[in-house]
Amino acid sequence: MATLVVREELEKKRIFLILTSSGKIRERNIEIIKEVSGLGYHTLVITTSYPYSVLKKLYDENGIDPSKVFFIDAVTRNSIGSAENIPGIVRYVNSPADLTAMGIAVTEVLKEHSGEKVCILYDSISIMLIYLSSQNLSKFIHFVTNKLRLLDISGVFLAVEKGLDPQILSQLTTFVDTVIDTE
Amino acid sequence: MNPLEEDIVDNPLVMIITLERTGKIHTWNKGAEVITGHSGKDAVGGTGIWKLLYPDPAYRDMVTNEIAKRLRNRTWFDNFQSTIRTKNGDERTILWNASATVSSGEPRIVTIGIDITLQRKAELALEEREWDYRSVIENIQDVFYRTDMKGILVMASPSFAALLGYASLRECIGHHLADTFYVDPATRKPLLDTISAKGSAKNYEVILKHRNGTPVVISTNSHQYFDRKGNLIGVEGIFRDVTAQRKAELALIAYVTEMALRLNLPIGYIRDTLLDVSRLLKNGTVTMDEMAIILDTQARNADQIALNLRDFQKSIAEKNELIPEAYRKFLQG
Repeated sequence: MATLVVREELEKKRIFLILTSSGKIRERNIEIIKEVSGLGYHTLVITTSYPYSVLKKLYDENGIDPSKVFFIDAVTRNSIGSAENIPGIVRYVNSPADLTAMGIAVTEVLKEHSGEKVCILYDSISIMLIYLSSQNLSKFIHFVTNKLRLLDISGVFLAVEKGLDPQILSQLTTFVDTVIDTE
Repeated sequence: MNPLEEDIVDNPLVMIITLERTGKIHTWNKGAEVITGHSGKDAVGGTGIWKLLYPDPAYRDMVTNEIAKRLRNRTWFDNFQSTIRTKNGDERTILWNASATVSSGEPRIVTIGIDITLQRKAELALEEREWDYRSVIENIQDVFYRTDMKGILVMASPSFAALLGYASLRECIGHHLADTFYVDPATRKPLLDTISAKGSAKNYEVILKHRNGTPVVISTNSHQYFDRKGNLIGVEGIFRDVTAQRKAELALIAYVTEMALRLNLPIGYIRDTLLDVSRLLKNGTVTMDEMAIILDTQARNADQIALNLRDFQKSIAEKNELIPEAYRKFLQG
């Protein structure tokens, strides 16, 4: 697999939309984290599919420095009802549909890591369509990308290829700097 | 009177009456007898004939006053119409012309009455037909329009102005239809080409321009029209506003597309996640607890998809009146 995220673009605080098949989305997640960590960046992973504990193990298996990754987990608390935040490592939000909590968590985690080279990985925006209309999803992504630009931070949005209707895809491409179709 | 003058006076198609200003009749010709049904014997020598011709006192007063008024400052009047009751009870419209004269040293009024009943009926029938046609055009909810060979709007129903936001039709007539009222004037040409080729166009959609600039989608049935000699003199037709219908259709299509996406994509995603979890379980990467969290998450996703599907069914049933009742009940659960 060719490099997805290159140093020059990360340094320019670019925002990426990476499209992949649903069967390969976890694989792409790991590739991106490896690349970003390898470039000396910390990554804030916002996960809506796998619990933080599983992703952490997968990153360990793939030789990713755990100190370079921290999480906002929208899965675990939704399932088991309660989970305590681990400062500097993971923050839980109740549900992928709770955009307010997610927005607050992103803001607070970024504040904790101000001064560090940080990149956000949003995995994945496609699953959000279960809970949100395309229009609301688009608004949320717009909010997040604006936030990233204000804070001068890079971001990667993972989405399932062909899972987005042409209208929302067209909107998202105006919010991001680069669209990479990996299929 | 000589025989010729007597023949003229006895013309059975024209009433010729001489009378005093008091209304007393002196001459009642054959025409008067034929038209009114009253003989000269009934009329001459008195004023009683007027009560027979105008049995309604109010109408009779009105006729008397009108004639007096017309003769007040003049010695004649013309084209005065009144309706008389004939002996057999019919009503007839008479056009009166009168002139004051002197006969044997006595002042007289010579009155000529022409029976215009049939003409008047024809006029009334024509007025009625014209009113009918006008009322169709005035009240039509769709728009009728007519353009000349240059594409100038020469006639339209008032609904044309209402459809496009103009205060009156006067603001619209005389303007080039395509240049003034089309969003894209070039789109008139394919319609005209169709009309030229087939003589008419049916359910042809074009986009007009409201005065405030917003597009108005219309469906038109238009055809060529000809003068009495068969010369082509323009195009006319009907516009029907289908803007709301098109908007609703587009909204429905957008909604169906959106929901298809929101149903189809997550199902594939859940399937691939479960396959992945299965692999991770076999590799020993995930614990039973972690697997439970993932399975639980996907079960919640499936629940949400089922809710979305129910909303979808309900909305489709609500938005589409064409769905048969039985299917609608099924869709509404």
